[in-house]
Amino acid sequence: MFNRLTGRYVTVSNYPGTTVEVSRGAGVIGGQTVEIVDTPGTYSLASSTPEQRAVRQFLLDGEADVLVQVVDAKNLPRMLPLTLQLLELGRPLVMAVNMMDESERMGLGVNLHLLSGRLGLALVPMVAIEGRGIEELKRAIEGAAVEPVRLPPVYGNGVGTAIRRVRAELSGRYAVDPTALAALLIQGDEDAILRVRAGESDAGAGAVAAARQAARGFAEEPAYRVALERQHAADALVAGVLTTRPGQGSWGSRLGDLLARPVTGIPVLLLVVYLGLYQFVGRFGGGTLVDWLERSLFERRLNPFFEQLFLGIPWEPVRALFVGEYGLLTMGLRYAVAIILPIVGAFFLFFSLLEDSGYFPRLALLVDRGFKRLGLSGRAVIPIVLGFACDTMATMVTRTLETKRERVLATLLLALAIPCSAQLGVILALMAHQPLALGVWLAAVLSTFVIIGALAARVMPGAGPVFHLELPPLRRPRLGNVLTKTLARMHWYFLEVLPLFLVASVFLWAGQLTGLFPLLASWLEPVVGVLGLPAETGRIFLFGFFRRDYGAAGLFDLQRNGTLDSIQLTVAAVTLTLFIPCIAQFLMMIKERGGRTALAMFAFITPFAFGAGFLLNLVLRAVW
Amino acid sequence: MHADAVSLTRLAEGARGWVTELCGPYDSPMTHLVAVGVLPGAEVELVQRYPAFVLRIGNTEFAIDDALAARVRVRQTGGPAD
Repeated sequence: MFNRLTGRYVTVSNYPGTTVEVSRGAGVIGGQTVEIVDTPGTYSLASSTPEQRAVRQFLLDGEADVLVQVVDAKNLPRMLPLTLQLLELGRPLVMAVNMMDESERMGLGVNLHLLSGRLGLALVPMVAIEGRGIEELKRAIEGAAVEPVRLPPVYGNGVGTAIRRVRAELSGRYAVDPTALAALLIQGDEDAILRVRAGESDAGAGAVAAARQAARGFAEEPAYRVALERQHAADALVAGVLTTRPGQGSWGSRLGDLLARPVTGIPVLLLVVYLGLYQFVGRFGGGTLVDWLERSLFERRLNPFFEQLFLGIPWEPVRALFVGEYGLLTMGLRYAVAIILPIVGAFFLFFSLLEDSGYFPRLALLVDRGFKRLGLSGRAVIPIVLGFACDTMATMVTRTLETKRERVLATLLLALAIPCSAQLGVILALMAHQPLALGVWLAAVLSTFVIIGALAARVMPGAGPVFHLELPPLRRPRLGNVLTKTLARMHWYFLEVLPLFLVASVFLWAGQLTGLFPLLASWLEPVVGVLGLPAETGRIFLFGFFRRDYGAAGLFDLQRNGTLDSIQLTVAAVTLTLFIPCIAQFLMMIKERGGRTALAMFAFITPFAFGAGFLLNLVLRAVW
Repeated sequence: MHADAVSLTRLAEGARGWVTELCGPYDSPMTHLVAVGVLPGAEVELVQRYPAFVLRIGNTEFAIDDALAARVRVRQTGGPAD
């Protein structure tokens, strides 16, 4: 919908929790250019994940002139409690009732006229994916901006009186209606307390005390009581609005049922991994496409062309910066376009297809029991799977996990044991003709994932995760939607990651020029020597620190000219996979988890990766 | 409170019932349950028990683990007995 209003790409998903940030864009409504802000989906203002908190803060800031609540037509009744909360804010509101086509197919009738009258709101029926209803929505937004807001009665005597008491203590100026703040105060909401502390002359003491006193008057927890009353009000509003024709189970619901049962779901999962990851991403993306781009495009055409271009430049260092061994054009651009783009693109396409179909929530359900042993809920399967495309992006998506403990555990596993697609592509290519080496690598990385995950879950304090996830109906993926998502992800990837890669290239060039890198690499030589690896791998590990794929691609070159034997190849590949994430991911870890946690992970992963390589070398030398 | 109410984990697949009580603290998972409409007075159907519990409420299906399912008490109204 945001895309339709702004003409911009943003990720739309059939999975709660892949839009993790508030996005902004410009659109034109009623001849005026307006700013349109898209927030992650939410059920309630009183939610606890960081993404949900971002939504609440945005709403409490009262920045928006008109709020648009986008609801799924078939789940209208359960969206109404949020509608009531939004109305409490005292801001003009429009309700976009989306996916009307799906609810019609399910035999569901929605009397929007009746509900619109009861709520005193404009309700716009839409099929946003096809652009149906967009113009009507724009007109409704225009209309709502000038209409006064009225709130239907929501609370019974208990909560209603409590809110009025707390409201009476609020005399400051706020961006939203103080009634909304009063309701949040009774529920002990921290953001509301902060705002009242700043807004009242008595630093909110009176209001907070009144809220505490009111809260003590309830038999249940206040937030629960408020939610119950709001739900009852919503039930009353929605009575008679929905009519159902007894529908027969659609193919989607029958298939969805099969996917969620282990007996049928696990074989399907294996098939999806084999066809999607191995055949499509690995062999087609990482094999056919990479070969074509590397050989036909870069080696035959572009690189000779770039070299020609810089032939006239007399300064060897400048030439090296652009077209040298680590040149921006010959290496940086080649890696980005010929190796990363096809693999990451194929993966994102595959991922978006699964996401749009509604497969992931079923997958999460299937793996929940296994993931619990790693201290994660099934929900974490999304960032973990995404990690195989780009660990940096996946680290950002851990935001959708419910507890801090889960977010930290998932971040650690992503950094340690999930190879990103750039790495994966090169490693698979390296070991394509050595199934035994590939098997050892797979076993080593997988057992690290399981063992370290289980240990970390034991060591880390805090309560275990609770799994709860909505299972949206399966639907046939829509090509346009899938492509939009794929492009949006690739766009993000290139915007966030490519600049860092190019900067890293410049660093590598500068390090080479000043002799700093050869010096650092020579320090690493004894370390790699202990792992039984040739001295050149020191340089590769150093590069791997800056860019994971550089490291793996460096191995590729070594193997091609026969410097590495099978054992060395396996040891190097395992160590590099476990070794420190690329610099982009490390920066994301600092951003998401804080500097201390990120450094602690760094301090654990580095010796662990080398230790694992050391042990693996000893074992392999003994038994191979 | 309700003599004939049992924990959701005691129902068989295909059983339907009224939610009578949500036990334990009103924490984040519980907030989510209430938000999707699993609250006293709602009718739910137990669609699946393993590897996680799947509830149907209205037109929505919802998966929860055993720990959370144990906190939902229901009075069975239809479907197979356990």
